[in-house]
Amino acid sequence: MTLLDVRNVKKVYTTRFGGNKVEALRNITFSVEQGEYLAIMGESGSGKTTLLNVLASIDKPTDGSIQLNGKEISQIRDGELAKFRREHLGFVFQDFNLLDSFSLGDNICLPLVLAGEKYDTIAPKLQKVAKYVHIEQLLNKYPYEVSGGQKQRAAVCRAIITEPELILADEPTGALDSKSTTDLLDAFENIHQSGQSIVMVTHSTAAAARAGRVLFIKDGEIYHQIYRGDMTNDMMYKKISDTLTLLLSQGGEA
Amino acid sequence: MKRGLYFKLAFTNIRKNRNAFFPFLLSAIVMVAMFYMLLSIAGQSDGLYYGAEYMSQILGFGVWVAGIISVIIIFYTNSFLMKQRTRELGLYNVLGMEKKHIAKVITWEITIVAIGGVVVGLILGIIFSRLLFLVLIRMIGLEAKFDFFVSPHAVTITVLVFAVVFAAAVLQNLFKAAWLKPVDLMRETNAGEREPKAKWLFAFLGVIALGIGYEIAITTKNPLNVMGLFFVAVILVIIGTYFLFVAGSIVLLKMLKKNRKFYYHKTHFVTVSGMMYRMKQNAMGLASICILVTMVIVVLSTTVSLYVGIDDEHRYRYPKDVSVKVNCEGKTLQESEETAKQLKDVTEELAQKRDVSIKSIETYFDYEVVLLRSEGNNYQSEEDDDDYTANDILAFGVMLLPEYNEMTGGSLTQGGDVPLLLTNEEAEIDGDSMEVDGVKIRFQNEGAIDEKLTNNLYPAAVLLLSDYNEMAELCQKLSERIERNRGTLSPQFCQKYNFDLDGKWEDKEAYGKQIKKFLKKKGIENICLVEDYYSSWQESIGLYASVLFIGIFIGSLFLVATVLIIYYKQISEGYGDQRNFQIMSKIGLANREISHIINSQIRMVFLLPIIMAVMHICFAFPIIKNIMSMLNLTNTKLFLGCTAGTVLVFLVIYMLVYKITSRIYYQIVGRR
Repeated sequence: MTLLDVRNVKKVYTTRFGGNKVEALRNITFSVEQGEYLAIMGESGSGKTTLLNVLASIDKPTDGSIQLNGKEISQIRDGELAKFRREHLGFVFQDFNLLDSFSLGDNICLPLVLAGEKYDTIAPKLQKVAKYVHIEQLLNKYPYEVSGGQKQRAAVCRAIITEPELILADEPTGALDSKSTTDLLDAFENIHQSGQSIVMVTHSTAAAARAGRVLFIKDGEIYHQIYRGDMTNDMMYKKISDTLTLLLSQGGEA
Repeated sequence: MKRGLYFKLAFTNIRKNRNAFFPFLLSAIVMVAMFYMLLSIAGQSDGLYYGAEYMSQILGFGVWVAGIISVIIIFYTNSFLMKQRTRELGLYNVLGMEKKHIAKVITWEITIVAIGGVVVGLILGIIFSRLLFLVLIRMIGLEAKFDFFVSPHAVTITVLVFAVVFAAAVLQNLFKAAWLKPVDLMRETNAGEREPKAKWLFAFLGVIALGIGYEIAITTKNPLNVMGLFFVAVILVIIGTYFLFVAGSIVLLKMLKKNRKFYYHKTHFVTVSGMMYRMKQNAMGLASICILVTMVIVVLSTTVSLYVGIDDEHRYRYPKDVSVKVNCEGKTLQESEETAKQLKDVTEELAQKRDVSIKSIETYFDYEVVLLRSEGNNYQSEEDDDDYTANDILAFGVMLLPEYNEMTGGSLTQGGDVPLLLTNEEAEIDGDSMEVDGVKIRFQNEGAIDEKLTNNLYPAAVLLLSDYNEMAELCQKLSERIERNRGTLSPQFCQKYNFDLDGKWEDKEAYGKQIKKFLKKKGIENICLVEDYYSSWQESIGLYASVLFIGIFIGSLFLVATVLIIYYKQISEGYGDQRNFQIMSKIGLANREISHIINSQIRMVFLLPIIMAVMHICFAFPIIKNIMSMLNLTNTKLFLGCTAGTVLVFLVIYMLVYKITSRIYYQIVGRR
């Protein structure tokens, strides 16, 4: 079943002076199946963050359509966008975006509390998601008391506690050391195995190697994609690096 | 060339940071203008009229207070500005500017603000000082023409004072900049935030201090130590306020947080945890706002009611338009009656000359002495260095019963052969006899003194005798004993002749000024005292008007301080909250919901100090009323009205400040 359907999406920015048009996304078409783990790779400036913002309904596409579960995102009124995001999407950011004034547990509960849920229904969910990423012991700690990896795992919990249809992750390993990266990727794999659909934008080959499919973006277009099929993580890693090398060399020629 | 560079850099900095610098400049202007105005008005008002030196003194005192407040405000603002900009300055340092260059830039910045503040402030001060002076003159009831006036003396002092203050501010900044390493400069504003600990002990001490302060304010009636206790209460309340804001607020928030039903709620969730950090950073600021607000309201309400109630106060001091007191020791009743007749004739004669008429004459024999209780009903005459409490004092008076009845419209009669004794609420004299310096006086206790004759501040008693000779004899005996025991001048047995005047104000004033000389000229002997309502009116109104004037000035300065603290608090909180609200909007909180949360948070922070201040005012009311009655303002309704009015006006101003500053807060928070 198709969860996310992206068709012919274009995004054109007009610079403030001179009216030069920059095409950030040219013609993007792809779809994400229910329960899929998709990684999007590309160089800086390739348009991958723009794509994620468009998917996240933070930014509107200039043209094309994006449907989540058959619902056209660009049709949602501005007033309901926030609610839509809160109910259907979960976000994980590169810089964690945890609130310093909340303990990790409260940070995780934040979306549910803001949605008006009672503590009695929140508490069991909190325990459940904390187990996925192994931070049960850290729930009473504050963000400044834990490591970056632990913060990011808490951020993942915050994203999944609302049971969103789709998790959008923007360079989630960008600010982490390699050990933390591995822990976090394990956490992602864990939640993916529980049936969660994930779209992750990343630079990191190691991160992308865990995904079920990798999309490569270059100059605002989908350039290539790799399906995992039966490949192991190592084989996947190798294949992705090869593709990146190719991408880079061709980019040099152009 | 180089010099120009630093100046330019400083100027650009000010423009770029105008959100922070503009209020600094504005407050500098206001403070300079006010300081100059007070100084110049104090200089001009000396010699305005007879008794104007009081006014000049009070205004001079106001100059001091204004100066001190200005210094505090400038230092507060300056250190806030520096704190906000440590990152920016750190960046300069990292980018290769040496500390001495940074120092030059900082110095230029403050210099620009100082020069702008002093120049504009002086211009405004010069323009408005004359205007305000005219207002003051009007308040006193004098006439004056509007003309332009610059006081070189006031200009010099103002420039000198503010030059020194700003120079000190520059030093403060240089010191701070020199002390910090670039890393610290870069780090200071985003130092890690830790959840504050609940300080139960301090919260508890705060409650205790506040409780004792309130208790003193409510229960103190004793006029002798009311001033001293008032200050004790003020200090306790200030301590209590700071402790409660700093520690109590966090204890309360922790308790709210523990209550899961309350805490995990759409708006409470963000508000409670946000408030916890906010209180950690801003509790001192909020407590200061609370104290300042309380002070503004107290200063304004008391001075306004003193001025508005001037008729009451002056009348309280001079119940009759003219009061003449003649010593009648050793005189027979006949001789005294003769004197009374003479007084009547002479006062009437002057009345005709001055075109006024005399009415409601009141004449009686009177003996008054202040006594101290030694034990039980035994009293001694007062001596200055005695250590006593107000309850041991007794204002003891002797009068004739028929005259007392006539004055009060009562109909007391003497039951047996002992005189009647009347006391007020404060006096505790039981039994049927008392001793005064060894003279035994028997009496029959007959209840309360008529309200007209006592102020109920000190214990008082009046002994009512029925016969002139009896009174003369008793008074002589008392005077002899007092003189012998104490060696002091004894009180006098005398005759009072009081009356009111009818006619034009100027005529009555002229009468009041001439009556004393006229009586002497006409050969009335043994005059102890001549007082009149009119000749001292000018002095009284001058006094109260300048008190109000100072009250408004100092009140305004406190207000400036309050507004500044609020403003800078909003800015710093805005920057602090910016990130939090961005995060919340990223994880799916609509702008509308964010503003809802911001609103409830800001409102709570805003209302806390003023609610607390109003509570302080309510509890302080009894003791301030007490102090006011010592200043002859006994009209509680008037004082209550003025206090309520001041509170209302202040609330309106406060709300305006809230609206304006929260808009700036929203701008900062909403910035992406």
